[in-house]
Amino acid sequence: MNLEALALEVRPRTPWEAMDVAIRLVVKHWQILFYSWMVTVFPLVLLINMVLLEEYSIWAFFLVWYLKPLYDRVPLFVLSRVIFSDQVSVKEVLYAIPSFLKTGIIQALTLERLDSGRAFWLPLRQLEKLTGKRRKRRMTSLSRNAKNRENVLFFLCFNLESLIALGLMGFVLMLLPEDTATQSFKTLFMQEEPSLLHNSLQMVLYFFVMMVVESLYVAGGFVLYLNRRIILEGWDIELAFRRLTKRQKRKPIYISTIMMLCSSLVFMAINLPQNAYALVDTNNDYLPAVNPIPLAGNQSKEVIQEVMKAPVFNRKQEIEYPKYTGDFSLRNKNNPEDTLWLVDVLETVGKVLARIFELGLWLILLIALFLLIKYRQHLHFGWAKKTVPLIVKPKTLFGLDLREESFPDDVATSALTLYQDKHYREAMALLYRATLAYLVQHYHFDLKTGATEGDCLDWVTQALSDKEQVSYFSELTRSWQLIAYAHQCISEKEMRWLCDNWSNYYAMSSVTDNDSDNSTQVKHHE
Amino acid sequence: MNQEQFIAKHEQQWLILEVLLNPTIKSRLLKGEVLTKEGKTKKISPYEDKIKALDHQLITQADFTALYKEICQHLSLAQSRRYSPYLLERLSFLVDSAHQKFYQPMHTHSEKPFRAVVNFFMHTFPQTVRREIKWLYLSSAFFFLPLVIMIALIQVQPEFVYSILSPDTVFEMEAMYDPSAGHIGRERGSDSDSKMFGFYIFNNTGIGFRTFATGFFFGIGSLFTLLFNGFYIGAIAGHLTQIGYGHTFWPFVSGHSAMELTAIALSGAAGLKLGFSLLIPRRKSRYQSLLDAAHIAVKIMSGAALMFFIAAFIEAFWSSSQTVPIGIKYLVGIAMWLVLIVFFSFSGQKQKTASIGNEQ
Amino acid sequence: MLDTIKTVETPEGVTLQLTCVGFYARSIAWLIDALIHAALLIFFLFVLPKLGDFGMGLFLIVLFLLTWLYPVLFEIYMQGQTPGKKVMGIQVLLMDGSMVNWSASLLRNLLRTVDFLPFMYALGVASMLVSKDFRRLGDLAANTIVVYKKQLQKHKEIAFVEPEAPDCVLSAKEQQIIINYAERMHEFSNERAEELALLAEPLVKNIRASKQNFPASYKLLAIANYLVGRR
Repeated sequence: MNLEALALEVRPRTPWEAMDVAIRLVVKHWQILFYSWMVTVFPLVLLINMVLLEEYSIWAFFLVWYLKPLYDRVPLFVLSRVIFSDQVSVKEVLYAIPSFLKTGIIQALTLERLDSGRAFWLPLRQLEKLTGKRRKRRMTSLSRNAKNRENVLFFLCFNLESLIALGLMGFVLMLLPEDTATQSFKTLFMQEEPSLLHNSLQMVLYFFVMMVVESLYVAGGFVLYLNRRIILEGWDIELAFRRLTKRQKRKPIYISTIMMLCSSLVFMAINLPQNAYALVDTNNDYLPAVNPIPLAGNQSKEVIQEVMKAPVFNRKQEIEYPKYTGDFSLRNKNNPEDTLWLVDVLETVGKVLARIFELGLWLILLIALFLLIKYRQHLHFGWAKKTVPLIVKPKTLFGLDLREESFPDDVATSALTLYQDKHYREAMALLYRATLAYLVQHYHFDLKTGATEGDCLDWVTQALSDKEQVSYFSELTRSWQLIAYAHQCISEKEMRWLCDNWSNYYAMSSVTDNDSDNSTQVKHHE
Repeated sequence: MNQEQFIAKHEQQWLILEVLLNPTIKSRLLKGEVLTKEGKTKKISPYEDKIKALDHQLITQADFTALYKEICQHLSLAQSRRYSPYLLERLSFLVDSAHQKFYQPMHTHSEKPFRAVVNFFMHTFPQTVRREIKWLYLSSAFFFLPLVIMIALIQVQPEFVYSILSPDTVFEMEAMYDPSAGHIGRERGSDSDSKMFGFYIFNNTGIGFRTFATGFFFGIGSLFTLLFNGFYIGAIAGHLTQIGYGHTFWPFVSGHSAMELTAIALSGAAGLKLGFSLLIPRRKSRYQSLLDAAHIAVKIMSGAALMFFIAAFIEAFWSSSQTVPIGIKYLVGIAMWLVLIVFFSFSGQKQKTASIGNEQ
Repeated sequence: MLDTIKTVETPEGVTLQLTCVGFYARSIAWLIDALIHAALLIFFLFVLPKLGDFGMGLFLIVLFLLTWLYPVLFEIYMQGQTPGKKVMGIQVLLMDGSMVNWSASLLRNLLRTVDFLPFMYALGVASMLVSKDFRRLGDLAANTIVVYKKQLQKHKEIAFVEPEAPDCVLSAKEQQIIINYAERMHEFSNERAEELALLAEPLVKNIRASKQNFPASYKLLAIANYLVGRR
């Protein structure tokens, strides 16, 4: 076994997390799981149904359900391979079938058929090939001091299967045409002879539901089992130490012998687990191990009885609870005269409370109205005014300077000039930033310093009615983003178009305040 | 610095933060009670003994934000120095919990929860509705058009009601609004009014929520519910008018109609917004589009829920009243519509609108 | 590598590791909540109608609150945990690892209606199978995630032995592994602990034939003692 090939993040997990990982595992490898079910289990189910479904449909369903432990071997085989990053083909699954027969099938179908933890214990038989006493001992070591939750897993999967199967059947029947549907409901819930068609339909649905849920169940058991071993054997530490050794490797020959030694040790550990999992040695002088108190069988029984005699365990408690009589009101229906006085009192109390309740609600309403009128100035009630004085115009947007004094007189021409001088980035920046400044000035463009180009575009799309102006702005934004983030420049033709049209939309050039000092003027040359 | 020195130097801060993060420990410690109650096997904190030894002043004067930032640094340091996993676990536990406390939504534990609620319903809600008004128009079209068409159609062709309603329902409705029957004329007590109040809240708001949620399927669920309710309500109103029960029916429904019908339309609008964001994501990814739309839709739905409550109140305690003259009932009905229109048009308009750059 | 951990980076530059919860733990949590729900309903059904029609009205309001707001209120005010989730030790968070807010919690719980369709959360389970972090449709729309709530655990003390310096230079990561080994060594059987220690070959190659039963693990423990600063 090569831990480094594990396609699983190796670390100790809680059982719940392990089950969740199992879901991931199944979802990731659903295709191969599906195919292997179809080539192995499906023919078997088909055979059962061909023989039994028409005459003894109940027995067909029973048998398909009963043989589940048999099917479990298939997903476990597939999962045990894919978890070590092996590719499994359908062919290999078929070749593996004879080996499944040697995995305690007789016991699985008889004594252990109703064992709720079967998915958790299956790897012992199928992967570790343990039988008899060795298996028993291994089971004890795996379940010692631990809640493995394999029973919870079973409970959940059992319910999942029943719910999905019933729900799906109900749902499919609901979709069928009316008269077939009503008939189907009858056959589903009442005792009436179902037709072969219905039985087949139900069998197909059941098979697929079983396939999904049984895969989840087996995977859950398998990952729980792996998780238990990760904790007990410190697989994560083993992996880390191996990497450490590899990294520090200086004398390759010497190390390879050690590696062989180690791997043979691991091999022993995995194949002879009963040796490796002996109780913690209590003679040990430095490991703070827990000392189990050695008690012989009889002795322990006595101790237990002694303990059970303690008053803590002998408490009896009488609990009174009202008996359900099928009637919520205490009033005697048969004889209305014979009512308990308490009932009258309660109902009067109810009436009074109702009055108070209603008055309370009206009071709340009045208070709310009063408060609304009193604090009407806080409601910000009224028309939205064009000039909103509260807005502080941003001086910069995504690092672009928007102060008016930073623009040349003729923005479009300057931009084109810059472009022709191959200062592409500066050219686009000038054009874009001038546009924004214009929007801020004339449209009360309400943007905060943190806004992005996308936000601006959104705003323009919503705020400006002129379609052409919007499309111009979106074109401009795209060009700017192209150069700003993708370092790609638009063609000169496009640039010309942008510059030529700029003054159409932004004719009142942003720099209307002529007294602003244009300190960063760009040289004109035409 | 090795691990043990590191722990020795900073552990006090970790303990203080742990106390700040756990209100139970904090109150017990400051009151001088035992930290872990007797009889409990599990200790309230594994570091109980050390916490007990802490000076109370340190806790009362501690600055949560500063501590949080400092311990974030400790975690980064410990990570980069590869200290033991158990230490990392402890630190990342503290950072995680503090992170959650630090970034918890403002209005959950804000100092002025009442103001936050009022602010939501009076400003955010109408603002959102105004911004998404096209969805309200769309859902109104799917709701009010069938309603009006149905009423008109039944005046012309009375038997059409049976294509929508079952004879049983029709009979029930007729019995309910029969002018000659005693019960509609009788003043109900507060208690049965309360019962109906509960019923309207449970039933109508539930329908509203479902209308919204089923919009998730590309808007189909909302669309269906809107159309169905439009036809259904229209059929009842049309039929009752046609057989001459109008003067018991219309006064009854006039008071709450504004709130309830608008709330249904708003739930539908929220559902449509949700569904169409998946159907037509525009320039966003489908998932991003859903996230953004859902965020807005749930605001509309919350407002609509409040409107359902108000409608339930009016329906139970005002509409059912028989002592109020019919004229006043109509007047109130019209007034409610006007109030709603004014509310959605003007409320929160003057307030500085949330600027785009600051939105998430 | 298969795992169920989602990594999120906070604005402070610290990475949070969230462990996503699959439908096993979540369905148990749901079941517990459903039982509480039913118990409360039965209780109110017995008590409230005794107050007559007013009680009936109250009952309907309670029913409304239980149906729609029970999970929302708990998620907001109990750190993302309904009682069922609390029992299972799981909680709802936003995708960035912070607490759920009103809109997210409302959204994910209103959309339960959708997840429930067409029967018993079938769509929800399907969505959890397909989505990356076991999120049902409500979680997807609300941008939330259900994670195992972290609990503070006492870190295990390393048994004291005379510290020894390692024979070679160790990287930070390797130091961490050795400390981890020392902290966990009493979880393994002694044979296994020794076997693991032998794998760290460069560290244990010079062990003297000592009186110790398990010289390699003793040596690693001594190094771990050195590494945590007991020198």
